[in-house]
Amino acid sequence: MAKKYSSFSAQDFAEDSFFIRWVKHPDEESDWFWQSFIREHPDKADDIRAAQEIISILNFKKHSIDDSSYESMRNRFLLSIREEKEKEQPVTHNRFTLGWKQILKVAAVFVILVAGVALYRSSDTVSAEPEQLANEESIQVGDTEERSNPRGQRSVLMLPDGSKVWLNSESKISYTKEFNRRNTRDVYLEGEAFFNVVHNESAPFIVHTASSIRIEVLGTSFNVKSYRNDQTVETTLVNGKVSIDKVEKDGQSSGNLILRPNQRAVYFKETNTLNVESVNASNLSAWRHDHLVFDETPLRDVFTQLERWYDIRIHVSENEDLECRLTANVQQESLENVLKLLETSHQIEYTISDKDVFIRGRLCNN
Amino acid sequence: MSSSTQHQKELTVERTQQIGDKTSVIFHPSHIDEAVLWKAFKGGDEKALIVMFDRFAKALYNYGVKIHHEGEVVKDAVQELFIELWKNKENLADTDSIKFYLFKSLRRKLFRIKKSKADHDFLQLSELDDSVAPSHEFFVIAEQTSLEKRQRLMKMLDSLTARQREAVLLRYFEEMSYDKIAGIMEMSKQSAYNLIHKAISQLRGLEEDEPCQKI
Repeated sequence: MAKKYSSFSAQDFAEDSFFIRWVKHPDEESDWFWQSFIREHPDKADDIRAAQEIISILNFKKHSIDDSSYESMRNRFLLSIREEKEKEQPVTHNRFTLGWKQILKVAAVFVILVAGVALYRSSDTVSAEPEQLANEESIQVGDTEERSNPRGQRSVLMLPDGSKVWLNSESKISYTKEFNRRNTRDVYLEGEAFFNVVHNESAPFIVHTASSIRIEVLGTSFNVKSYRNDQTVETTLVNGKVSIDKVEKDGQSSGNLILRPNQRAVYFKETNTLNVESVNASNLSAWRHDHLVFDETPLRDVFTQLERWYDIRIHVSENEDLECRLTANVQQESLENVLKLLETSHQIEYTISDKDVFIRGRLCNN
Repeated sequence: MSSSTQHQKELTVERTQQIGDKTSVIFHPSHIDEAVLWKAFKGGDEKALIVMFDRFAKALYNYGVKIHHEGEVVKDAVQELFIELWKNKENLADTDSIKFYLFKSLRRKLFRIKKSKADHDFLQLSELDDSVAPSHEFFVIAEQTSLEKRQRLMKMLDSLTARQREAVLLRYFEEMSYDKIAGIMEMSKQSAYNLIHKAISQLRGLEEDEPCQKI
């Protein structure tokens, strides 16, 4: 490459793509190249300098609109679009409908594809695991293997392809006996599970949930939370890279989102919206190690988790506000100790009666 | 590969929406692939259209102002462009560069506006062309430049024709390929090369004419 440059004029440099990119957006690679080139061809230094100058002169004024003008332009635009839409459909909408709703037909699915290299490290979890978790045999129902956990129990199992699944309380996973012999590896999940999927490009790993959300991966570590009674389906990525595709019933892709490590995609069932946020992925899957981690978690969700974790029923008075948040890290604690924690943080009073826990006190009130 | 070096910062959200007592957060779509965005928009997803607006409206305005000069006219044109896009969405072909398509469409639109004004006012198009601002007004000249150098630079930049200026903007500012420049400016690729070449040699030529004054 240096060969052609050694006969370049200043004009030639100023028109060369690689040179232009170096002047405008220098990076390590181009910097190294051009610095060495200048050293090796000191006769070219002047031409290069001249070309640099020309490129930097060609710096256009940004006739940017100021923010408030832009906002009003944008608002006018949004209004016009709304009017257009209303012309198109005689039915008026009460609120500005979010576009995805139009795209998704009744049984639309999200397909989450993993691009990029899988990071299954067998050393990662096996040694770190205190195998306190129950490890029963799976039940065979017809030609389906099934494993389920009641409340208060968590377990780990290995799938025929070597993938590892941590199953949380009140969760069920099933897959066919032919699991390893088909060109997709399908599992059906109800509840919450953490997956460490073995990389296999020729057989995508697919997690099916009850709410038309399908998660397709090649090999990675991620957490899926899809409880029937929850308002959301949540997917958290620990390692790898995931591409989320919205797919209509006819198989057409109509939306695309990339999930990176330490991001969580939350699908709100009721409103059909998808939310992506940065999270601490290991916090969210800490339950595998018998940690309960609450990070600004609303008390409502804290109680739901405690119910599943300890197999209890929590009773609070109706209309109790449970939106305030709790941040805590609880490791292998008894229920009593967790409730004592809440005594301190939220001034609760509690009564335990077998599997029923009655909670009152300050909670979220001031 | 540990967690990627990019994307460590918090994802910003586009907006939150209250539905009853639930706050729904809409994801920030900055990483949506263009081909997918375009398809979604064609399919009737107005959210995709808004994403396109947010992504390109400012650059379009900036470009429009350089070739047409009147800010208000360009503002309206940019808005109309997106609305017309929405109205015609079913008839549009697939594209793998939305930016290219938008730039090209805006240019055509501004040209049509200019032409109708010329027809209306019984002017020649060429009379409308550079009538407003001299070329150097569109460029940023570094503050530390001496008065003498400033004047020299202004002279150089003024020597550029409107078309040369536009081509230079598309190449050096918007960093478009020659193919795209040719498409937007409705000329052959060879013409685009020639135009840029002429512009640069214009700038070089004037530079070389000046006596070297080493301070």
